[in-house]
Amino acid sequence: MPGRMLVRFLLLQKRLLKRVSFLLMLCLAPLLSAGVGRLSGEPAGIATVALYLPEGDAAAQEISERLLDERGVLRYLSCEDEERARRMVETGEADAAWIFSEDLSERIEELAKKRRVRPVVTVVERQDSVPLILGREILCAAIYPFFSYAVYTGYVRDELGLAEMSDGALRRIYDSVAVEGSLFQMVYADETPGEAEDFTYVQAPLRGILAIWFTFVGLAAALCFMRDEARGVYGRIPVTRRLSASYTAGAAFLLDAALVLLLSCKLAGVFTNGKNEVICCAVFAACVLAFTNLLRMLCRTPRRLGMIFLPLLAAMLALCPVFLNLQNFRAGKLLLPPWYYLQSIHNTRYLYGMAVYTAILVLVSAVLQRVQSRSV
Amino acid sequence: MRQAGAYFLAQLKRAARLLPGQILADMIVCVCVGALACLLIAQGAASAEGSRYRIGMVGDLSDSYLGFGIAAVQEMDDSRFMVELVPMSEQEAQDAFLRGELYAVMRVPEGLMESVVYGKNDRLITYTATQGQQGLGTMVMGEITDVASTLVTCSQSAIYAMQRVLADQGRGEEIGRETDQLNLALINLVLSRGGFGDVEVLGYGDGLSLELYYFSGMILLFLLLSGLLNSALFAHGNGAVFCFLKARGVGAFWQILGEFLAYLLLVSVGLVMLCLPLGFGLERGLLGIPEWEGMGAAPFLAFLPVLFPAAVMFAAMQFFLFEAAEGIVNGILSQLICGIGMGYLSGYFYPSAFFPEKMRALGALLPSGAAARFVQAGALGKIPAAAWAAVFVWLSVFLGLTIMVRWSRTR
Repeated sequence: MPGRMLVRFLLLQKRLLKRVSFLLMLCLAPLLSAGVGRLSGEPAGIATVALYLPEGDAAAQEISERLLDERGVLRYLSCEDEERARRMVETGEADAAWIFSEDLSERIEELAKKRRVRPVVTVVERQDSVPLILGREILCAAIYPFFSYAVYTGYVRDELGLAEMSDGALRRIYDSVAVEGSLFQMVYADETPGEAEDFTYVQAPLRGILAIWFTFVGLAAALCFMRDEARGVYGRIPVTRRLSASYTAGAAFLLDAALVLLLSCKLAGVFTNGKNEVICCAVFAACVLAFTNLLRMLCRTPRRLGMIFLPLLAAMLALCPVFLNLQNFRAGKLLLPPWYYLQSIHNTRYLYGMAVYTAILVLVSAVLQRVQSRSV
Repeated sequence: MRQAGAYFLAQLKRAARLLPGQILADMIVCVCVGALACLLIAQGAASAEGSRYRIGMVGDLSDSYLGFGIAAVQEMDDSRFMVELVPMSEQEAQDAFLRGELYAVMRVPEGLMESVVYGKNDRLITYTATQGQQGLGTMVMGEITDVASTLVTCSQSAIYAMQRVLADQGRGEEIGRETDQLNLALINLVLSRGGFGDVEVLGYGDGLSLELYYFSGMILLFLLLSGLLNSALFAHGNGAVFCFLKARGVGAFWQILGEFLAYLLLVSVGLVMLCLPLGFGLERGLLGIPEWEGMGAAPFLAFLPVLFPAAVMFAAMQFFLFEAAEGIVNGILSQLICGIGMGYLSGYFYPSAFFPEKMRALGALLPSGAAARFVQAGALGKIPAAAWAAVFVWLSVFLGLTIMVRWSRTR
């Protein structure tokens, strides 16, 4: 029995790989991933900020370097004058302009002396929005190092009565005790640090897109099996054994698609580590195989199966964490294989969940197969 | 010509037979999307009413300074309107996070405050904001924690430097008092940090609001992917029939024209099915689109004709993909990857302004980009000639290519 299944699997694989159009179709996924992966290296941001910083001012110079070198979620464009920065906002080239005072260093020192916060930057915005509120926090964080330093020097000279201390001496002491680095670290559920994976938000949805595509490969395989069945390709296999035949046929499709999925994740830049990826992908493939076969058995005709494609796609786009990460509809999410796969990459709990779900799907399919074969 | 007309009628009958199923599937999609939209609107309303992102704080929260810090963030900082810090046990936090009740879980390591007080900063606060791989939300949270980190470390540096100065001067006994004073001064400055910027909002709105942008994007995405729903029409493609038809005088051009017009019927019905609940939602004020506020469904009805050229162009693209893909399996998979890929690049999921320059340019060049430009311009009431031309060119290209593929098959 397993020998026959293997022969059937190999014959189906040969039939698939001989079709140039199938191979070309498989190439579309890596092509999209490679394209987006490559283009995502360019500067991008959820908001564009035009920066005008006065020339020759040390603080301005450092703030400018800090912001322009940063690889965050905002994009900065340097402007030669204030008018240009304002014009960029007016014409829509930028969402906001940050126009720093001409005497930035002096102004910071003056305010630090009084220990007061007053505007040192004019923030020009087209419309207020969430990214720009975040931007203002980033702006404060860029100014604060100079401000806190000026507060320290002012405090030492005025409050401690050490007015004679030179700038050089104060700076040397400050540098000798300066605290660097972040106090926070993003970690995944499996304790992997966030910085272990280097990709941008432009690349982030690609794994989800590929997972949905992979599920549709399974659906297409189920459709193909139905057509073959109607043509009598499986006429010699008893109805009671059709389930294993459909699993073999689906596996032929999904094996190729799984290799493409792994390659595409690598090209997209969202690949984690080989062992983890292969295990998650293998369980996902089994889950998709069982899921699509159950749908095939429930729908019974290619036309009905075709009808559920769009609603299923809408459900997967809405409920799986591809573009949105909704906190509700947990019951709906539990039914979708891509949801388990996307969560399982850094959380073995979902990997086990996916395995259990696969077992349930196979069990339900087997029962349904028995019921349907009796009624034939 | 008569033969071509008969062929068109036959195709029309085939399409009509699919209509009931298609209408049912459209209704399911509308229910799914409607439920999602209602949920998002409800969430938006809840956040407008003051509901905040809940972040579970677990670990060693016993230190009184830390307690004061959390209280300060909750009571005085600007972030109090957006974030709620909830101290809880590890197990409670894990369960709540899995249930989706927490946006993130922050773990405070043992001895954090000692590490901060002595300037070692070797104990990091770890946070988990996602079950899967990180996305845009997690990256934004990363930016926020970077800001918080900068504020803390710079304040620490100022205090330690002041302490060192006092120690060097042999005034060690003053360190405690002066540290408290400088600490207080810095905390006040951090809490009023919003005052560094003088904000001028120009209120320019020559583009679409985000709501109308996504509204038109969702309709276009539906049209772009509706080929999946109509796949049954292509399930019985047979090369021999096409050759037979050609022999009877119905060439590749007339075959495609007949089939395409019938296919358009399915696409148009799908569009109408989608627009009915949208129109109803707008009429009842369930969908808040700033540009159409208080105007009912009238602006949407005026906007409807704008969607039709885009629908025809997408129909031609789907038709071409099914024709070129050889077989229903390849047809469906190419529809899917082209639909989602093009939709993503052309800004149907995230605004295209989020993407790098080259990606934006590529997205605008694609058929999905041409349709988006056309529909967005239509929503603003003025469609430039270039937008018309782009849609027309893509339509001609797809129809031309489809005819070529059919012609080469019937040779």
